[in-house]
Amino acid sequence: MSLENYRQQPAVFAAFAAPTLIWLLLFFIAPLGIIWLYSFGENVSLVDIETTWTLDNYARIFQPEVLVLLWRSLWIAGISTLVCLVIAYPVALVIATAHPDKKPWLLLLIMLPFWTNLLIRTYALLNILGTRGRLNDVLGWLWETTNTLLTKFGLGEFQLIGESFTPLKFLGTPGGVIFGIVYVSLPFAILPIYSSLERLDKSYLEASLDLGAGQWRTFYHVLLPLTAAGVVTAGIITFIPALGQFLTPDLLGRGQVDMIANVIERQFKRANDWPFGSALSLFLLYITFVLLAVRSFYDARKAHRS
Amino acid sequence: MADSDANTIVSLNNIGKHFGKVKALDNVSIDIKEGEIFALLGPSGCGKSTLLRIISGFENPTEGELLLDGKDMTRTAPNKRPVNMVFQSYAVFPHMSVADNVGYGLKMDKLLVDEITTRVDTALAQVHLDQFKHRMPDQLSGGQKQRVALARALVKQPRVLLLDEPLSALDAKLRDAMRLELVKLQETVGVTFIIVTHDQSEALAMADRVAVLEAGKLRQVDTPTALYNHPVDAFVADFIGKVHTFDVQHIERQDNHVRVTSDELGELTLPLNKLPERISTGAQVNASSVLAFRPEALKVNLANEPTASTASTETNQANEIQLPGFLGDIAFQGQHSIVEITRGDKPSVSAIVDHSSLSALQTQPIGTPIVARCALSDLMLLPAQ
Ligand SMILES: Nc1ncnc2c1ncn2[C@@H]1O[C@H](COP(=O)(O)OP(=O)(O)O)[C@@H](O)[C@H]1O
Ligand SMILES: [Mg+2]
Repeated sequence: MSLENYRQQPAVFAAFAAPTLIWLLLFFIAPLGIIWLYSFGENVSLVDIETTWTLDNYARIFQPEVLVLLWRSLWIAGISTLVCLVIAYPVALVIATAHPDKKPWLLLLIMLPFWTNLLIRTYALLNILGTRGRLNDVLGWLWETTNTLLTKFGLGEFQLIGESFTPLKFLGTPGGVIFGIVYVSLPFAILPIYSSLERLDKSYLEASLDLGAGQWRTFYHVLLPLTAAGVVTAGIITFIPALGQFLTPDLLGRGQVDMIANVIERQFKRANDWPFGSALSLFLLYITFVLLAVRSFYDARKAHRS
Repeated sequence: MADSDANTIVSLNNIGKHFGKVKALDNVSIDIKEGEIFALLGPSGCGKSTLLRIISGFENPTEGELLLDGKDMTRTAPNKRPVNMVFQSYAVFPHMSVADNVGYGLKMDKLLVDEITTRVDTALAQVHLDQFKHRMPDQLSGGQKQRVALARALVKQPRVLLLDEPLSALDAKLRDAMRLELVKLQETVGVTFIIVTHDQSEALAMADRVAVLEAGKLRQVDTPTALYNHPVDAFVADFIGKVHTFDVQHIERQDNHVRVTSDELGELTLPLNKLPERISTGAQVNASSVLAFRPEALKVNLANEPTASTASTETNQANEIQLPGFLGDIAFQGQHSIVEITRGDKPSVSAIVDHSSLSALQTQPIGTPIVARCALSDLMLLPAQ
């Protein structure tokens, strides 16, 4: 029975689809609907919300305090995505060009972090990024070594790299948060780029070399344009979750680099302002929709050309 | 082999290539001359593409050296070699227009925009694509893409143009037209062409000289007629056109001829000067050999029909072999027909017969006793391997 036959077998199709549909309806569509109603509602008591179809909640998004957070979320997610892509492309290239025997192992290595809980991984990052963490240990060691070398060469008294090593502050800074987001998103960025590289006919690259281009110009003129779709997918798949990141800014940002998701969380908990929280959530969803629309426009234009 | 003559453009000297345990090429030495169309011919997997990729620089040989214009280029990067390739898949960049594709190599050479435009236009005119300059590759047919790939390679004015199975992806009609066109194009531009193909008729029709490869080994390099008339062994004979072979039980070399004993064809005396080197020099005498002839060497008569030769003396009879059999199917081929001669439990043979000889046979029912004859001078004694 081919997959298309479901049209002739509505009963069978319904039997198979029903659990999924019910699950979707109960745990996704319904809550989303409720949130949507809340976003047009007002708190009438501590626990009751009345849907009054007010647009106040949406209007409040455009007050400066929220806009600042929204803007910060956008640029942190944007920079994280860029950093991710810059790291992911070479990694994907290495895997795609590796010996066929080694590929499954390299891919497994990429997937390995998924086998550990995100919370545990983020706490591990705390240990690494802390003021007395492992990263600063390494940097401190580098400073000591350089200092010893400089002293040996008689340059010690100039204090070229400072009088002593001051541990860098990562936690509670945007840098730390970006580091954390890049760390969790990297596998998601690598895989789409890898698959677009894998699908690429290698003779395009050989043709470019044959016509006199070196490796760099082949990369820029042929490889990158022909894998652009994979890069765009990787970008979107990184950017959208990064925009809604909650755990990483919470733990690594130490409450000083809040992103929009942290504000949303606060509305549902401490601030007890569910209507505003709902409006913010949906606003994030709308941004996602716009991004996906841009992507499908890009796809459609490509499909139209061919 | 430093003794390659002045107009040798590509020298392959003792080239070997291993892929892990697979030996794709084994001690291949070929000299290719300037301005010729040279074909690398052989069955699929024999190493033709690998050899082409060694010339273009995409593979490094495990052994041996490659000289281009007398200069060692065995390890030179592909983008530093004065050769260009037309890929089997064409590899026309899908994100560039036809003109940009053709101009790509010139842009990489950092030529001025004006010169690029002029040369691209000339190249596109050469392959009759002037009208398609601004098209994107996905708006082109397979044949047109191939022309883009051709123009893109030729516009760089390479010393050697490499073509990997250039006709294999085209449909039959276009293939014949493109064959002619490639030969004409080569005459116009004068560039040396090296063409890889598994189709012997393609190689014979297009090439000035052909190298026959089998399982990574070079069997023979020769002109198409020499390959056809004087194959060095049974493999080449069979690969270049159709051939019927008969096992040989005994070969005895005498002063200026060999005596051959075959269960089926009897005892024959063949002059030495007509035999492949390996047999005429005696290197092959004791190894297994076969007697062979081509279908067009056979003359077919009705068994009871008196002919010049049957009626003649014994000396004349020794100048030919006779294969009695029965009339089988006749396949009309236009210019000539192919007559099948069944021979009971022995393998049947086929003969190529022209219209005048056909008329006598055509009226006969299938199974009529007939005799096929082959002149001794058309018989080939070949090493089996
Ligand atoms: N990159 C490669 N890795 C391993 N084996 C290869 C590679 N390229 C070719 N081969 C092997 O080398 C042999 C010759 O291949 P190829 O030159 O492509 O043959 P042809 O073009 O005559 O069909 C084949 O057995 C093929 O499997
Ligand atoms: Mg091939």
